[in-house]
Order: sequence, then structure tokens, then C-alpha cells
Amino acid sequence: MRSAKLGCIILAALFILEGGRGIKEMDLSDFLPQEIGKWKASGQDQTFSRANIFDYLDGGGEVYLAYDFRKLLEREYVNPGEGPIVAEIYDMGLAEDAYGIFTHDSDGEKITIGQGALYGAGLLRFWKKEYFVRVLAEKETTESKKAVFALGAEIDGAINGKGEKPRLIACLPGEGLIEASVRYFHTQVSLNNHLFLGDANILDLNRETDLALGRYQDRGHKSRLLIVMYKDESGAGAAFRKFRRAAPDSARADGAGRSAEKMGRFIVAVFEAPDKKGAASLLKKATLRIKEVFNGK
Amino acid sequence: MENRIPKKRTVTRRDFVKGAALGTLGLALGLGKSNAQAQSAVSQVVLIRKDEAVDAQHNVNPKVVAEMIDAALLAFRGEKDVLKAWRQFIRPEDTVGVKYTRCSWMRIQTEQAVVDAITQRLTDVGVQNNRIYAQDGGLPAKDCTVLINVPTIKVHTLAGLASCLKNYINFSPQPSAYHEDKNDKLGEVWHLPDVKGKTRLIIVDALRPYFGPGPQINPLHRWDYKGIMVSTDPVALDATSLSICKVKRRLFKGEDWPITPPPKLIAAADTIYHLGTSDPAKIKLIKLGWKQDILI
Repeated sequence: MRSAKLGCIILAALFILEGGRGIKEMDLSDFLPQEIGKWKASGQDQTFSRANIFDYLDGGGEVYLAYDFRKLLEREYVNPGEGPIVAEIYDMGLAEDAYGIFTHDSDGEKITIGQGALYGAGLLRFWKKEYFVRVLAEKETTESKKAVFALGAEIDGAINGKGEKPRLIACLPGEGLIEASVRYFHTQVSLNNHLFLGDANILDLNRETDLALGRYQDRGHKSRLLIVMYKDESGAGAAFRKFRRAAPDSARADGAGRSAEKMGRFIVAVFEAPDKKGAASLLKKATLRIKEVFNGK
Repeated sequence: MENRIPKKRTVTRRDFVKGAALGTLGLALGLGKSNAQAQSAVSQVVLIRKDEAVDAQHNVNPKVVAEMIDAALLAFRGEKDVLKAWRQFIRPEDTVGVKYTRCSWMRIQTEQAVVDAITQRLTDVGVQNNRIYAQDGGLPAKDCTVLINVPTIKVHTLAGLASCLKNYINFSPQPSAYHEDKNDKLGEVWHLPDVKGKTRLIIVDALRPYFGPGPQINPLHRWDYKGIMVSTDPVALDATSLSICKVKRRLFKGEDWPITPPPKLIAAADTIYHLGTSDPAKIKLIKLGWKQDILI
């Protein structure tokens, strides 16, 4: 009885140490087959962590480091007479962040693989649980496309379970929302990729802030809605004061087509609305959704 | 790294004497120190396109590419003889660094056909093979008397645009110092002692540029533009590439798709580092060949 209790404690401790991600750290290579159709794994797998991601993505790793990225495995498959297929599996630490990096680029045809997938011209991307997956055929042919889909399906099948999308995404009101425009991220690097407000970090963004961004169709215009969630209300307050002070052209609060408000630990801002009324209306809808989703906390 | 803000250079008598002593007009006009066109009011860029340069399967035709480079250089120098045109930039005794782009993870690289055509012409004008360094990382700029910049065109997640100016980032001992909001300082690299004034010619591989958000390739964001650009002004070339990419992005999305973060490095290379001109009104663009979907 006593040893059973001790076992439970050890298991619980391991679970906590793993950040709730499971007792056994998954080996990313477990998700990948040795061959797919006529393509066979070639050479050594490459693995990278936060410490050395720039050895692989020199000049691009920052985009992953802006999330809770843990590690990456890359495997190349070759088939004489066809171009190689490269599979990359990113352990993003959290399902929310796997979803987030997936939203970085939303161009492609929607495919039913994982918890959300896109395909275009030889590249399949999807997210599932805390994993983000890219499978790229260097040359898209009928055969290589089949193999890319088959490989994607195998990886999907090997990842057990599902993850949750960030709760914050649910705060984007549904009416008029352009689904492909939704982005989820944390830091200035990502904000600059999706909505450039200036070089300075005027919203005090860091790895602990969560942001949801979406575009809305409004009378022929496309407005942008940005929701920032801070760790606490004082953080949101300080950031909102900074945001108002900085007020670059594109970020002036309460101008025509723009509006911003702090609500508890949230900042909600609308940009590029057709007019002040449109901005205020979208802002109001967003604050209502935040109250519904987070009960105002 | 020292944050130098160089003063705008003018051609001095000393420059002229030094250039003349070295036996090249380009050096006398400042090519050996900076970029000749950076000193002049108007920068010239030659853009040549050929439909046959890239086939429907995205395969590059080396013969056509070599012809395009020759034709562009002839137009750029107003010459009729290819080797005479090349000799305006390169002497047989030069040690030449052909700085191309090989970004293996991004898979957008200077096409081998472009590099081969250039190295062939270097050999044709008498540069010995052991004095030609055609590479990306590790190119010994210090040992080179001449650099030929041979970048691709990529919209870039952190710098806005990666082409001529950014292609020299790995001459810096600390490339990461120029990422994110510090990309406007990239002009500094062109003033490093081993690099400064050595770039006599720039040949941009615009065969298959990239206009997407990155950081990794999405093949949907790559297109067969089938172009080559030639100039001595890296800023004018980057400004031209930026214009083309902006139009391509708008066509792809059916609405404005701003490049973010904005490529501040281009304006800064002009106004702070004086490497050339970013003002389209001061860029004389000579267009040759295939005009369909030229986007500029």
C-alpha cells in the first residue's frame, strides 16, 4: 500500500516536471515512418532545440522562439527519379502554441488532417496536440503529392490525443470574421509580422502575453481586431498607458476607424474600420465576448 | 560592432589617382571604394526576362540564363562585346568572390546556372580558377579584390526583404545583430574593412523570387518571374525588387498585403550608409526581353 502511494507521488511529480505534457517525453522520431510509398528515409535525422534552432533556421528561428518551441526533428525521404520529401515535426510545448505557429501563414487549401491542415504546391502543414508538422515535396508531382498526404496521415495517426485551441481565440466575435485571418501569438516579433504598429514594443508584449488577431468584413472594408491578454490587470494598465502615449499613426486610439479600450487584464483595439462607428461597434462586440469567455476575469 | 555612420562620399582627386593607378575606370570613379552609382544622381538597373528561362516544371535553362546575363551586362555598359563589358569590372589579376545565396532550410537559393554563367565569364576574362571564390557562408572577403553580389529575392520575416543588401549579412561576425528591428543597420556590413568598396557588380537572380511571409518556404508564395537584374547599386536593385514583390503580393491576395516588418534597411542604406539610391524616381530601369506580368 505504502509503495503504491509512493509510486503515485513519483508519477505525479514526473507529470508536474513534464509540465503536464505526459510522463514520457515523446521521441519525435516515433511519429515518423522509415518509408512512405517509394520514398525512403535518407541520412541522419536532424534534431534541434531552443538552444540551437538557428543552426537549422538561421534568420528564421525567432518566429519559433516567440512561442514555447521545445524541439524539432527533420527527416528527409528520397525516391530516385523524384525530388525529396522533407518532414519536420515541431514540439511547440503547448497545443495553443502549435495552433499559433500554424496560423502564422494561412495560405493553402484546407485539408482534413490533424486538428487543422493546409496544403498547397507540395507543402502540407498541420497542427495536432502540441505538435506542428510540415511535410514538403521539393517537386510537386502526382506521386509526391500522394506521398505527402500519406505521410501526413501517418504522422497524424501516430500522435495520440488532441489539444485545445487557445481560449482567447473564442473572444474574436464570429460575425464578419474572416476565418483565414485569425492569428494567435505572444510577442512583438509575431505582431510585426501580422500588424506593424512600429518598432517599439508599445504593447509591452512578452512570452506571457497572449494575442488574438482577426480581420472583419465590414461594408466593403476590412477591419482588424486585436485582443491582448496580460498576466494581470496592472500589466494591462501599464501597457495601455504606453500604447496611448506612443500612438503611432496606425495605432492612434479613438481616431476615425480606430478604437481601443482596456478591460481588466485585456486590451482590445480595432484598426482600419470604415469609420469611428464601425470601430466602436466591433470593440463592443469583442468586450462582450471576453466577458462571456472569461467571465470578465 | 561599431555603429558607424559614414559621410556621403564624393570622388576626390586622390580616389581618381588611386583608381587610375589601378588601371580601371570603375575604381577611379569610386567602384573600388564604394558603388559608382551611389555617387551619381541616377542609378541604372537592367532587368531582363525570358520566358524560356524557366520551364513549366520550374527547371532553369542554363543556356538561356547565360545569354540573359550577357545581354543585361551589354545593355548596362552600353557595350557590344561581352568580354569587353566584363573587363570593365574585372581584371585577370583580380581575386573574385562570387557571393551567392544558399539558404538550405529556406530552399530559395541562387540558381547554379547563374553562378556557373558568372564564373565562366570570369574565366573568359582571364581570372584563374584558384582566384575565384564562388560561395555563400565562409567566403574569404579579405582575400578578394572584387566581390560580385549574386543574391536571390525573398520577402523576409525579420528584415522585410532579403536580397542585395542582406546577402552580405554573413560577412558580419555577428549576423544576428541585424535581425528584427535592427535590420536597418545592415548597411554597416558593407563598410566592414574586408568588404568596403569591393563590390563592382551585382547580378540578381530574379528567376524564381519569393513573396510570402516565411520564415520557411510555402511554395504557393514562389513564382517564376524569369528575370535577371544587373546594376552596381545594391539599394536601387533592392528598391526595384521590393516594388515587384509588393505588386505580386497585391495580385496574390487581391488586396494590399503590406510587407511587415517594413524593409527599413533599403532607405537606411541610402540615407545613412550612402550605398545607393532608394528613390524610384532616381532609378533608370532598362527593361529587356519578355514583358508579360513584368509588374514594374
